[in-house]
Amino acid sequence: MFYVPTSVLRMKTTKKRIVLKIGSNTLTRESNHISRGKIEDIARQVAHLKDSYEFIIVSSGAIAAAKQFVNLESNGKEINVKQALASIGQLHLMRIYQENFRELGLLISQCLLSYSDFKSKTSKENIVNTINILLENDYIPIINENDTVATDEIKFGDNDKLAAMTADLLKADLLIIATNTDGIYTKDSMLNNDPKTIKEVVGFESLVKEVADEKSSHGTGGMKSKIDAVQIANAAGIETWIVNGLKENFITNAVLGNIPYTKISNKLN
Amino acid sequence: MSKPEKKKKRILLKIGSNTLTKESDQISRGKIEDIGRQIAALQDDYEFVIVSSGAKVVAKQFVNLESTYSEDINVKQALTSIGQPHLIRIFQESFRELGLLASQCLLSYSDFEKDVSKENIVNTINILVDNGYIPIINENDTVATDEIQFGDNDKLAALTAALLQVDLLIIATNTNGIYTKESFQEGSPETIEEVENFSDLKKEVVDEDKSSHGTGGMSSKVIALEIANKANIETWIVNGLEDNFILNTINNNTAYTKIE
Repeated sequence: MFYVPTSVLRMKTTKKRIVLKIGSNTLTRESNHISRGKIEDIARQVAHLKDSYEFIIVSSGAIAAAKQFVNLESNGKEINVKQALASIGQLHLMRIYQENFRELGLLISQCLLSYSDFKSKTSKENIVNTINILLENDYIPIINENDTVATDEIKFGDNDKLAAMTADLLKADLLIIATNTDGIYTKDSMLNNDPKTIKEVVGFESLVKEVADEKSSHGTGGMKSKIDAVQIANAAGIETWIVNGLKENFITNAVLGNIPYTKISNKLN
Repeated sequence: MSKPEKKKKRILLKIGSNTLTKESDQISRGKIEDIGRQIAALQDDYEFVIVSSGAKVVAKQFVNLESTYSEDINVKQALTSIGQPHLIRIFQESFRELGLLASQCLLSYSDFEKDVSKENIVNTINILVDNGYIPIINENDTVATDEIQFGDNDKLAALTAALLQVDLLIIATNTNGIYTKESFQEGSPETIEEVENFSDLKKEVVDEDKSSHGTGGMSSKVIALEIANKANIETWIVNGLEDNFILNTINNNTAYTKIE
């Protein structure tokens, strides 16, 4: 028998750091309800990979969750203002994450960020410091935009950009963007109605020519916003994968190379 | 024919950690129920916006229960990031049982310095209140640093009250309002019931009662009062530890300090 002090165990910081961005389409499985099954699928994978990877999640879905619950519990009046919906939905979204993750032994925490936070040096330091402490203590930070205070002029635009900027700020090893396609398809294959995934490109420029833009029905993203996110991540030297979040085990399968997805690797590597 | 909706009085209720925990180390479901019941009882005549502390306390409570590491987490921002979802979940669960709906707004000091953010906050909260959702506000601590934070939720509450032009600001604390300096020093505290001249109040304030959980204390209440006073908002300092503290103050059944 020998004694391993906790301080030594906590030094295993050689884990790869993944920023995982989950869009509304993935979270709802393209429906009008948050899917507990999809959140469980994500949690199982995070739990399965946690010895080698640490996860930071950037999650959309507050507005989808709000619409769902406003329908269930309100007086029937529709609410159409994004900020108010986010204010209602964010707490439902976090509660569902908390419940499902806890059942698999995972702990979560909430960080709501604004675009202006990325412009202030003290805020940036603070975000990095807070998230590092959370990760060291095995709390998975779940990040979203702080919509209550965000206006069109001062917001990220969408969570793809927020995810990329966060990955950059936190010096992640990998950015995974989960969407509803098998990565990015070649333009030709899209025009021919027989979508083929671009498997790997080196550097951002080689990707740009290949892109066709179809807005996704739930999110504000679409392929264009994925490309913008890739540009930010690529400039920061962070490898990015665009994977199909609708599939079960999309992270573990992408890690094992079992499913088609688009990998944008760093030119410098 | 439906009755025309009468204009409700808007109350901003600030609840400190001492009230929320009933001066313990755990969030009190009983106290949150007490608050929910009062809001439900008053909802035909009053609409509520809540500024709630307690994220840090609830984080410590849950970190102790569920964390693998026995070491404490001592960084405020990380604690609130863990605690805020628990806090708002507990509000949601308890309020829903009384037919009340909750929503979450996390604000930063810098949001009060920008016109677009201010307009956005007002607009969001008005829509929430109009639709029967009670906004529960707290400081967005993840991004706040010492240089750019409110200091405490008393100030956040007063700034929010001014921004939303509420009819009444109620600050719930662990004393029967503000005591006269003399009575406090003699050990038999007497509540100052009504203050008409704000500068008179400042002379009476004793700051020996820093709360054990919160960052506030009486001097931070005075800063909050000054902000509310400038915005012409009536403020009550009440004892949140008592059951029915809002109903009882409205009915004048308990000792509290009123600043008009």
